[in-house]
Amino acid sequence: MKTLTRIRTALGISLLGIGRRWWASLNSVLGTAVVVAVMVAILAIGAGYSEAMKMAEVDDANMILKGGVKSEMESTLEGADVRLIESELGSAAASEVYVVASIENNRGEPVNLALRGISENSTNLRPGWTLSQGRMPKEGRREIVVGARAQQHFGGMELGSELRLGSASWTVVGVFETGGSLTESEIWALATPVQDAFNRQDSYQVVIARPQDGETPQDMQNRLNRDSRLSVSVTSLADYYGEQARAMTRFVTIMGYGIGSLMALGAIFAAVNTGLGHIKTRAKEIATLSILGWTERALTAALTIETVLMTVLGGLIGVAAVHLIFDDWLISTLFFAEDFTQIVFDFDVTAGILWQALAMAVIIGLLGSIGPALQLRRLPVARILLQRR
Amino acid sequence: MTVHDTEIAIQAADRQDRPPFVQIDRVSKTYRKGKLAVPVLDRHSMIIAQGDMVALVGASGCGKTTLLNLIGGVDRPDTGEITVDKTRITSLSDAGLTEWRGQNVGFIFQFYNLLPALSAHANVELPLLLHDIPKAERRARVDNALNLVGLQDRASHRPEELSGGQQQRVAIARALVTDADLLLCDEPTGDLDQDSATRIMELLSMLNQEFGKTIVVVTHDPLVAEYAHRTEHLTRPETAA
Repeated sequence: MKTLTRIRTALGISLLGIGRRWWASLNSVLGTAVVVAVMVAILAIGAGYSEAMKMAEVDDANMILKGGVKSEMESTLEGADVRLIESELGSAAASEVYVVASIENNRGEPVNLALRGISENSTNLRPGWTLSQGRMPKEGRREIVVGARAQQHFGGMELGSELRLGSASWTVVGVFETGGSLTESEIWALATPVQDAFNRQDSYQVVIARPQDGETPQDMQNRLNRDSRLSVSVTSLADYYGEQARAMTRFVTIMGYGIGSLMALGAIFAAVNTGLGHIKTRAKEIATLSILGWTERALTAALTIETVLMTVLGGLIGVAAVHLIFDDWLISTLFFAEDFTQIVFDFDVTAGILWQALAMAVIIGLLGSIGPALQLRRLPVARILLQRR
Repeated sequence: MTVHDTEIAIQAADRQDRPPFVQIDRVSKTYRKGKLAVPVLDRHSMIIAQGDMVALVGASGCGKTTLLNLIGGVDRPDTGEITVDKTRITSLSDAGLTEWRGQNVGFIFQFYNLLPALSAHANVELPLLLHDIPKAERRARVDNALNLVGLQDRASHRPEELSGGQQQRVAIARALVTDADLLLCDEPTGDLDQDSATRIMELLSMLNQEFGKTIVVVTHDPLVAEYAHRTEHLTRPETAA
């Protein structure tokens, strides 16, 4: 109990005098704030990317690609193959054309977007898909509906506007949403005009299909490949995009922790410096408390708590800054699925990231207080008390 | 022999009868400066009776402050024993020594050592924070201590708003507030003008005579030493390579 009283009072006295050394304290607070902000920002990119790749609008659907290929871009299913697949699977299938189309963004820079030529069942198989503005494209017309995030981020896709995709001009007739998933970075049209405009004749890239009860993707693949005319690979949509996201997420996470750790080293040194500065400027105060009965342990604990409080304050400032400035900000990057289309996603400052950031701030504070604590133990109390200042 | 001299002689005889309060038994202390060993105390022994007021005098470097620090448990001797009020402080752990110091010793330094961020009242209250004393009683004790040193009207002032003599009186109030029986003073008037120095020594003398405080004063000033009942002359031991 006495130790707690000693710690509490030593901490209180130290905080009372913080105005006299505000610059050094601010240094420690801001140093940690910058480290935490950078780490949170990078991890928020990873979290936003992963969230976008979860394809939340798709409940339980599989993706049927040409046998042996790993992405939609590589896959080609001839019309005859698609009709065999559809006859085997029945109405629960949607054949889709997938091409990469180049547009100019609102800064006049070329960007690649995924243009998906859909069929009647495409929206039925995506329960989370909603048309938020306008209407669906009509047969025989070069009309498109655009993902909300693509429209928001790249610009020039308002209802009624014309967009040059491939060799043709297309009219924007609607905007769709899928809860912020990857699909919202796409442009959709009916399959036939896409095949015409991109010279795909009677070929498709993928068939989306709902499995029978209890059927795994492997079961579906086996069922389809029993027909010797077919050679297909089947994977669940969640697994497909999860696999595509894994590399990027891993990269961003490693980068976040890597850069964060390197910067944290700097922040630890800043905290050590601040702590040593505190010991120097507070030597008289510490020696006086020691002579009056404050134990070394209590003074060390108070110093550590103060350092951690400073770095946690810095951490909170860093998190708040990122949250206020970047949370829900849309950014785009290349989708790492071998087709180099742009995927639009937002910074996602999750609760998990907040806790990790605060843990980082605590670690910076704890490690940063070791040096000053050792210095405090070596303080020549008797000699300091004889000095004028 | 005058009446006054007779009174002093009687008081001295009284003190002779009192039990020893501080016992220093063959205490040695050597500091090291690189390879050079600098002995400051060599098997020094002395006894201070309860209620005594002793001045430690001697040339610079003869170990006056070191001896004061050893009595107060601020430092430890290399060899020898120190007992204060039946507690063998040389056997206490570091934490135990700190605790003992906080409860039993009041320190007064040349440069006051008040905390600049705190008012005079808060500075005096500091040692009481480590005792389980209700706030109202703490306040009363601080007021009493400040009253005793004549600074009740300066309670809310910070050290920088007080003169040197006033700061030293705050430091004395802080040393008194726990009702410690032992007051250790290191050049308490060294930073003060003559008038302030006289007031401080009269105050210490009053605390010794009226409150029975045992006081040890380190000083270079013969006028200060005159307030003490006895003077202990320290000499510097030989420096060994």
